[in-house]
Amino acid sequence: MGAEDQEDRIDQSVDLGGIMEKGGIWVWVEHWEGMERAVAHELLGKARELADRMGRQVVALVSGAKAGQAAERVQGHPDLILVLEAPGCPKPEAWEYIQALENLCRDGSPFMLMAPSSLRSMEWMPRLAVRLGRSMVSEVTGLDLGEGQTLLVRRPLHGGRFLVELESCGLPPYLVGVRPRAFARKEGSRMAQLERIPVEAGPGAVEVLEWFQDLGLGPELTEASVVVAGGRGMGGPESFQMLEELAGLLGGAVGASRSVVDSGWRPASQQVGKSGKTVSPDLYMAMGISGAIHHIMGMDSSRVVVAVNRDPNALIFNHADYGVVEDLKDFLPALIQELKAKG
Amino acid sequence: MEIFVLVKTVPDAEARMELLQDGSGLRLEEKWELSFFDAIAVEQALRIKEKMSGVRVSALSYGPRFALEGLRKAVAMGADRAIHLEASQLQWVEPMEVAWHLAQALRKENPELILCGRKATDDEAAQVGPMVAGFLGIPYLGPAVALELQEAQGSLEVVADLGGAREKLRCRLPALVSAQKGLAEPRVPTIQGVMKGMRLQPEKMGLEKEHIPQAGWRLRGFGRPAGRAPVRMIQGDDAASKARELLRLLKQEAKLL
Repeated sequence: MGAEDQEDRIDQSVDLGGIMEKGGIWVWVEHWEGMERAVAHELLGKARELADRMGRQVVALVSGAKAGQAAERVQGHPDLILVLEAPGCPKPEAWEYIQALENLCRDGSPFMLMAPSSLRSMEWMPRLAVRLGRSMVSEVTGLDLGEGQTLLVRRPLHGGRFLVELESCGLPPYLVGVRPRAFARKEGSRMAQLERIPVEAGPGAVEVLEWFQDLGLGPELTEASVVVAGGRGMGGPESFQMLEELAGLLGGAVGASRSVVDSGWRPASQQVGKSGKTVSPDLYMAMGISGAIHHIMGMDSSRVVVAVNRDPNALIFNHADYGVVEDLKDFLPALIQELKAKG
Repeated sequence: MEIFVLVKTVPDAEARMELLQDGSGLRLEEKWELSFFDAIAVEQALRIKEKMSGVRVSALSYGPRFALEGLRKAVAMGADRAIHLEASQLQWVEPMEVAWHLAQALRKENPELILCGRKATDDEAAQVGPMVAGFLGIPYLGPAVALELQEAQGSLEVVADLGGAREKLRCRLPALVSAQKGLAEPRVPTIQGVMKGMRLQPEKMGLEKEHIPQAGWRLRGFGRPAGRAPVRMIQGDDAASKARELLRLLKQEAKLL
């Protein structure tokens, strides 16, 4: 019916038999123009841990513009780094790369392929799953080995109110999308061999006309270790400057509630909740957020939650570790001043 | 032009949910809604219909009996047709199996454009849309924050949100596009629409029994995440003393900052 299936299978001519063992744990490295996403290190650290328990290799896969630069930046855990190169095909999720990835999976028979459960990776991983005939799991927050070389995964359901646990019962490779910040970043000192794999860039079914990065929004919300979020209780868009300053002092990102975004006070990319992003920072500060279930669904997996609200009965206090009843007009300047005083 | 919208019915955010004692499943209160992003997809389809002539919008849903609720909403908003792929009620269904059944149904209909939400709000899997595109062998574009059809050329342009960046994409029809917040604000159904939705008798399609993709995962059970200790309210004479105490606790007790 369509273009994707009609494209010829690209011949994979590179022989990796000498350096790559079958049954490895593979990690797809997501990067922007050579700068890897923080989640890449989280995935590689977890892959290393599981691979060591199984006596397997960790293989990192990088593609797109400046893939070589990203490859150098993810040294530490992998035994082997494969750089997929298609000249004139900068988009790492492009069909050509997915085709190459399919061929690699068939030849290299990995035990598992991990990618971040991000907007970008969920563009290609489900389609790779179809092509390989392997069902996948996304939004994974727990990974372990079961008896007899099975894979155990845990993922949240219904906005984090419940968890479901699944065990692999089909054949590998197991395709797993992992939620950012599910696993801690670990340092490693391995220096992996870099292998460049030429990929044929055919005429793709989807043409990229333009590409533009959202600028000036600070660290990506889902990857920030501190999120300072504001709700209606902030009073207006201008008071978010204080949140920007606070986030800057804490090395964090600014988030917002749905009503704040719907009022145009903040961009949609900062929305936390059911119709926005799900975040799990070490510290989540809810400033003037009432705590509607729609919001809770996006932040309840945060490690420590601080809620500040004028209303002592605000629902958000049911989902917080520390609560402060105070007017934000007074509290935010005081908090910023205290943080500055402590340097 | 035939447009299909894939819709999922999910528990209302306020619905009561309980964990079965043995952890084998969840008991959900019968309060349903059309998944947030699917409503955006329905709206986008209706806008195309209103701008062009000869467009028919069909809503297609896989699911048990309650899937009817999401279809009702789609029809109330203005969808011309509703098709229900009747499935049995299970505690866990693999997105790949759902996508396969949807693709089987879509093959019979041959739509030029398929729309869906970027994820369902209950399991947030974000897999069914791209998988349906994969099974049908058509391009997948998304999550879209803008969509424009070039009818004469038989092509489509989409601005996709990549989380931190955006890209403008073009492809020929047929294609599947997932809807992100910002694409189109779902309309409130009219009274006549709601009545139409209430009277809805959807077309029913049975599930195919053969060649279903093999299951990749076995359900082990459900649980609850570790709960939070009760909130500790910070006392103090004024804002400054509360701020000091909060920072002290974050440092010393929570080992943060």
